Amino acid sequence: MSFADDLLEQAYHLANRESKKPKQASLRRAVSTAYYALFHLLIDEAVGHWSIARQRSILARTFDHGKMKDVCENHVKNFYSSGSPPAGLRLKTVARAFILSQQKRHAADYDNAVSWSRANTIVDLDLVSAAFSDWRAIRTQDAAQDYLLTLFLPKLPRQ
Amino acid sequence: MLLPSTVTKEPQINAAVADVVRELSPAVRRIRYEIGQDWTGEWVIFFRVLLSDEASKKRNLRKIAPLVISRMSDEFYPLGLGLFPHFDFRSEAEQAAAHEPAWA
Repeated sequence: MSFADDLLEQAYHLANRESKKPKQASLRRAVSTAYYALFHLLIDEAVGHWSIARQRSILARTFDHGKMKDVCENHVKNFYSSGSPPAGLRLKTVARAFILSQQKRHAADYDNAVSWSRANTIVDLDLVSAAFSDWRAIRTQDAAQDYLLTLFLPKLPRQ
Repeated sequence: MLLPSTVTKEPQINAAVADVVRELSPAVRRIRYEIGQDWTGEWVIFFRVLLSDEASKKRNLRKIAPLVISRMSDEFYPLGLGLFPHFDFRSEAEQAAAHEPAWA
């Protein structure tokens, strides 16, 4: 299994610990780990195109969470403004899951006022899991590859 | 706090919420929303979705929650507010215990 798959599996493991009364620490770490699973799925896919293997980890560290969120937001907005084309549905779902899971991750890591339930945590993990499935169904398509490029580039060149 | 551009579209937001609640009733009891900033400081809309206790059972929640997210997104984006929606779910029993006005 890939690192991203391992992270997602670990997220479910954490979410299902303490069968009677889950610890907030377990649920919060589960939510945070699920976000990082999706983050690594996408950046591993992107840097996998770099032919010099020893440089991939350096390249991976240049990805910026905030910028990736902006790219995903633009992608989702463009999907709807272009009439919700069925061909773009899966990629839109991936982009939306990235934004939602990133927001949850931030709350899980920094907002102590939020109390997490196991059920809601599993919902968040399921969104990421569905994004994994959708991504793998479309990963070789041009639109998916272009999306990866926009996640990485500081800005797109003028067309 | 509401942004000026959002205030003018409040009736459309309310209508979108009402449509989804009607469509997904009785699983969805009500949806409240609030405009706020996310961790990057960007303005977003937080939807608080109150579910029936039956819908909140684990096996049901895993079906209804993605449906709510999908339907609300489909209704919300065409409004062109430029805000990204986020979602939180709670059961009626959880709200009865928490008594949070924001969810009432």
